[in-house]
Amino acid sequence: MNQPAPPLKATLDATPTAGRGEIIVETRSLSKVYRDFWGRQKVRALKSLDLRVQRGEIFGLLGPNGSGKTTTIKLLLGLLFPTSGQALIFGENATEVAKNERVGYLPEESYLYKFLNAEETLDFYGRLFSIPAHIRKQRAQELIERVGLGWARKRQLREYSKGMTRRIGVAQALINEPELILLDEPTSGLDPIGTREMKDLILKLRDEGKTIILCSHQLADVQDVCDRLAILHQGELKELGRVDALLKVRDVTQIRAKGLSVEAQDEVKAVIAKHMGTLISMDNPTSTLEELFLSIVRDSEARPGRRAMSEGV
Amino acid sequence: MVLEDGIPKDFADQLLSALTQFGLIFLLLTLVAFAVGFLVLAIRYGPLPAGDKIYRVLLQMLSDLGGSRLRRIFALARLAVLESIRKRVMIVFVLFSLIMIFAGWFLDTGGYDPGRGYLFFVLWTTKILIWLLAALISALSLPADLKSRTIYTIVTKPVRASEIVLGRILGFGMVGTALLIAMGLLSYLFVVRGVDHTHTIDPEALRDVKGISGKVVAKKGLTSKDHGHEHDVTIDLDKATGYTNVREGHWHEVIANDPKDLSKGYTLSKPLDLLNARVPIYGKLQYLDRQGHEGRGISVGNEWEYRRFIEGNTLAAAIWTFKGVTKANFPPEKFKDGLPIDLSRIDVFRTRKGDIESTVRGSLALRNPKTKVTSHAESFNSKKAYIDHHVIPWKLEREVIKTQAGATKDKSAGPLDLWEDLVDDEGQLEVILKCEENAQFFGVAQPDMYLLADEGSYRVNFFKGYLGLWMQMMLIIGVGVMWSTLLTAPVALLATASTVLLGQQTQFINDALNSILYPTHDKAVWGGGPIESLIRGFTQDNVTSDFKVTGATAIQFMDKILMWLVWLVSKIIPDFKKFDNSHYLIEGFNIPASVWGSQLVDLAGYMILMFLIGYMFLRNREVAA
Repeated sequence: MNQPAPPLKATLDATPTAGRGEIIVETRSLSKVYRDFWGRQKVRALKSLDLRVQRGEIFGLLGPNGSGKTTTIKLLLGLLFPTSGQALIFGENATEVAKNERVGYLPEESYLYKFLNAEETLDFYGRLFSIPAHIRKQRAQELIERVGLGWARKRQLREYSKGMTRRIGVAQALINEPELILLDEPTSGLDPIGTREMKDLILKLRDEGKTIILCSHQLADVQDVCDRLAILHQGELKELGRVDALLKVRDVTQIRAKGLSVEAQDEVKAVIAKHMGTLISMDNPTSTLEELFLSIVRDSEARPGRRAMSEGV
Repeated sequence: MVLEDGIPKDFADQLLSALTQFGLIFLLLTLVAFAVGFLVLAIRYGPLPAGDKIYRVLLQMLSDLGGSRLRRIFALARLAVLESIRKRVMIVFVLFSLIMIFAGWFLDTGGYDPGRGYLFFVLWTTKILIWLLAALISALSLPADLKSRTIYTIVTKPVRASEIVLGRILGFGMVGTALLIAMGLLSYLFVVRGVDHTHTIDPEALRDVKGISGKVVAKKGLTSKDHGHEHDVTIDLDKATGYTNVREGHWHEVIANDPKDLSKGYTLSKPLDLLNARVPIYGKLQYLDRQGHEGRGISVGNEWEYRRFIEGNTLAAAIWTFKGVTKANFPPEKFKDGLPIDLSRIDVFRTRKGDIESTVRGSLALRNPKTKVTSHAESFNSKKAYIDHHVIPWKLEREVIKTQAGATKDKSAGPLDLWEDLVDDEGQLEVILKCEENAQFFGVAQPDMYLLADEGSYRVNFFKGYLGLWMQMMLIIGVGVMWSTLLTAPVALLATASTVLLGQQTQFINDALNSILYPTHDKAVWGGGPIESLIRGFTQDNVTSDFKVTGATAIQFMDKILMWLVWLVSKIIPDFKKFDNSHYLIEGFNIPASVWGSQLVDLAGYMILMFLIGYMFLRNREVAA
């Protein structure tokens, strides 16, 4: 059987927070209790969360619905006030408005003004920052092209599809060239191509030195892009650490080879048996559905009108 | 009707007291807000953390207010403008235009002053539409943003709550202002064109009027019937000009088309004296009773009557003392004929049967307040429905003194000079009004008589009338935005409407407050405070009887505490009537700078209060809760 990753304490110690980089986001015993009109406790959404996120990393918040991911993001943005504990961004209290000059935020749904078009949207959000007019205009045009909405720049957002709205949402989050970007379900509503482009964009932003916190319940997204992740459940931190370390199954050895005959495979099995190992499986690997889909679409775009056929089908 | 509150106070005096009051109320509100906040937090977290949180909130408030930037405020205002335009708010103007197009069908062009009817109609239509619009856009916008969560993308930018509140007020104010300007221009055209008309005269139908010498000196007749009326016309043949009588509040000048050949007909001017902006100088009124002693004037029994009455053919009189009767205010080169005095719709109360159509005779005399030199009393006939214009010549006859031997003039010889003999060295002048008919009464109030110092521009006055509407609109926007920072859309709209309604009743609220906090025998509101009146309601106790229940003193004490809170709240509720300048416009009086100046100061005070309250609500609200 697969053994779980090392416990939380061990991964906390293993995180790159011990002086390797500047701490951008920190929560200290952060808790949030939702109350009703009379002040009675309704839900304890977050329980004593301790996190630290370093500059230049992609940090994932993973968990099922209602686990406290979005509450954490909202607390970090000052949209909610903590019941107890502290949320610090760039060393300042999260409720400080000034920190927002260096922060970009993509909400779960793209809550934008439907009566504006793409250019007006970016121009409006740009005006909220200290950006000179000519730079604001130039940056807006670049971002519209970057998210692939150049052809729809003059259309009001009410005419946009969900995927297009998501893209313009990303553009508004980047209008101030933020150092820290918080992405709430960034691939929600995107098709596989859009999802891949979003993930590529996230990785590129990381390469540009930006710090990214994303929350998602799309496990593949988190696995693909995050350097470290925290798993929340019922408002509690259940796991925290580097993605590769957390996913590594330490007592299983994986051998991948090409061009082995049946005899050769039998020999490998014999070697495993000789060394008292247990062969779990030996078969041909499968690709992911995402990779299959993307290869079909690329093939279709390259050779329109032909039905794409995968090998072995 | 006259301008009952039309005597403006000195602006500088008002400003100082207004600023003092504003400072006091601001301080009290701040103290109450922090005290309530501390209590709530202390119950939840304990006194020390509560104090710490209050301290932090205070610091953040100062930081927010200091960190507010015009750039962001204008960006948010621009968004509000775009939102209004894209959501087709301008449909209000289309609706208004449609109303104006069809209004002519049912508006009465007759009556003694049709201009009043037109003005009343456009002002009320504009007011209702603009109030509705202001309440809707201001109270619904922010709750809609909170509901759709678009606010998330705003507050996660470096935007202060103060900027959000100010941006909304400014943006909606700009939309409302643009609409109001458009509606004002259309209204102006509607009124001016609505009352504009002329008549024709058939020269053949005029009859000759002969002079003493038997020579034809004038012609008289009727004009054509246009706009529902006709005028009597008199033409001086020597001057080849004439005039009509006053009908429907106006008259026309008549000019011959060819002064040498009157058979070529006449042209009548546009209606005159219809849309005015009179600049009055008001005096202080004092009544004399039938024995000639100082009195209060007689009440004729109508409890709603605003004027007090003087008895005819007795020593009863109404005496106005005017200040500022100087050559600077009335330069002789401009006022060539004399000093213009208007009697504004003097009321008449009859105690004997007579011809109801006939007028009642009165007299006007001028007197020097110091030397008591008095001019000869000039007779006039009362005109209840119209403003009666009098021009007192610079040279006047002396007073006629009635003796047993008969009426004789003052023994001093020669005519009186108004400047030399009747105006004292401080520029004061008394005007004495009497009713000359036995058992008839004149009803007068202080603004009923004034010196007509100038005739202002009607266009400018129209603009100033709309300035009052604009200020009311801004107040509603301020109230709407304030409530929208705290409440959901329907509740915010309801709260805005309630505040506006309360703002119409500030007089009653003040009367009730004074009656309970400072009770006197002639208090305006009876029945006690909220608890006392509730008990009186249950016990069906007469409101004027003494309150005799167990613990009456304690109940009245608690009522007083409650009423002090009401007093504080009442100071935040804008007095909407105070900003209403429509009565000036409708009555044809210039809106003085002291009035609209003090209104602007009041507006600024209210807007600051509402902005701060709205900011406090939004700043301490969990946007995502």
